[in-house]
Amino acid sequence: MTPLLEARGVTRTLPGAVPVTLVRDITLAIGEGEFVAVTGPSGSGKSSLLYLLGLLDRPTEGRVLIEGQDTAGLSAGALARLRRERLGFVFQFHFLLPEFTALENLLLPMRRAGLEAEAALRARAEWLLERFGLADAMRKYPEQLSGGMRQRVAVARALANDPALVLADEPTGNLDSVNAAGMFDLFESLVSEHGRSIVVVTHDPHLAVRAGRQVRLVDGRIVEDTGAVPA
Amino acid sequence: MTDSAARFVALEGVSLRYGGEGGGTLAVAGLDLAIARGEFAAVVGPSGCGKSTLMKLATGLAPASEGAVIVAGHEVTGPLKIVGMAFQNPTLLPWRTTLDNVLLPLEIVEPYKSSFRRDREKHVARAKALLATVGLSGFEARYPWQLSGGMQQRASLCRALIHEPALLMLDEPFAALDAFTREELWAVLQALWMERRFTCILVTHDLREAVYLADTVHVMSARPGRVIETRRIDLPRPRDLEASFAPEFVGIVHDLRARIAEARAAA
Repeated sequence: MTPLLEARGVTRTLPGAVPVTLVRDITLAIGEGEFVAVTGPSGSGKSSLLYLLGLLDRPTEGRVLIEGQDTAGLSAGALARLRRERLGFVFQFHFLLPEFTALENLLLPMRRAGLEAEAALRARAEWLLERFGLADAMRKYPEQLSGGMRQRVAVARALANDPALVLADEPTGNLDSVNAAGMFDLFESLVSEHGRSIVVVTHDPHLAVRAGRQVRLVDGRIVEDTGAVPA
Repeated sequence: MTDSAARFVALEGVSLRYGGEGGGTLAVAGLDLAIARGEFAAVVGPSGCGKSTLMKLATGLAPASEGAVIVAGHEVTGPLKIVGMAFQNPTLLPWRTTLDNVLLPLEIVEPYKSSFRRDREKHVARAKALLATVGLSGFEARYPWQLSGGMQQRASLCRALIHEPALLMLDEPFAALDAFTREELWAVLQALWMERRFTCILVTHDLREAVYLADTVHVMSARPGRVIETRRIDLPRPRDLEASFAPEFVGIVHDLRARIAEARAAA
């Protein structure tokens, strides 16, 4: 079966007088319904890898394929469309817009994709927020929500356009242990009940083991991959 | 000036208690404040004095326990739709280009929302012009992570202003930046304000920043916060960094500093 997302021999080097290699010769395939934790020490290239997998950055060498399609030759606009339609992002900081309610923050990416009528979008956004225990928070503004609630809104927003894959970069970095565990509960249910795939970068080993597969990076290389499919 | 213009934002005898009747924390008490339409106001005070609470009250994000909050002639009973905001953390979406980030509010705020797709070209031209005024021409297609912290905050200001809000709320917007970048952004913000004359409330702990930018500086007491002094800054505009080292400017900063020190000691 064609993997959802695939990196083949991906290297990313920042040019300059002293070139810096962020990740080196990464080969990784992520299938449907996989929950993958990317771990490793600070500066090991975890976030750089996530940016490459998320089509936010382009490799210096190697290729990134999404659903079998090579992304190398695609224009910035085509990449943006792929991201919008197939991928969802969660970061350490929630990036919710302060001027807008939780519901409006969800509607933003949905309107952008412009696939459905307003009423249908709204119903879907409300359903997502309810699903995440945010029924009472829908019409509240980010400043009126707790840190854990804001981050749940951010996850709901990542799912707004029904992506095949969610990429999360230290999504629990600003949360206490209870909220962090709650976030991983949410990820687990997305995988088990909704068949989404999730790649989550985390430095917390207790959380990482909850993923079905662990990929460990050191100095920009994969040193361990518990779920590597034999070639 | 009509009353609603002279008191475009008015807090009248406002108190706010967090955490329920009787108990909890009294964040502000007996807070009186008036800001005219088109005025640039700064709010300073000791840590924990309720500066951020004041922001929430003025935008309707937190309801007053006592007293009244009036904006644009109406008592505030819920979150306002006429406000742009920028905080210390830039909220630019990492997966959107700078241009697409600036366009965001137009996709959701009326009167732009309903015609956004039809008028997209016009909005893009407006966003590009706004980005140019803050020195970000040529960076429209970059992602936030490809910009420096100062550039991200410039783009955040554009995003907060693109839908031409009547009121701009800034809560420590430059606190995470280094001193040189921060001073550059004072000039950028001043230029934007002089051109557009929106009403602005800047919450800051940087007294030079307050004096450089504001028409009036309101000093708050220690918790429970109230305004203990309002100082008009009549220095000519545009103000530049050189002016911030002139005796008159430094004198004002010293006065404010002394007033805050008193407020801290009284706590």
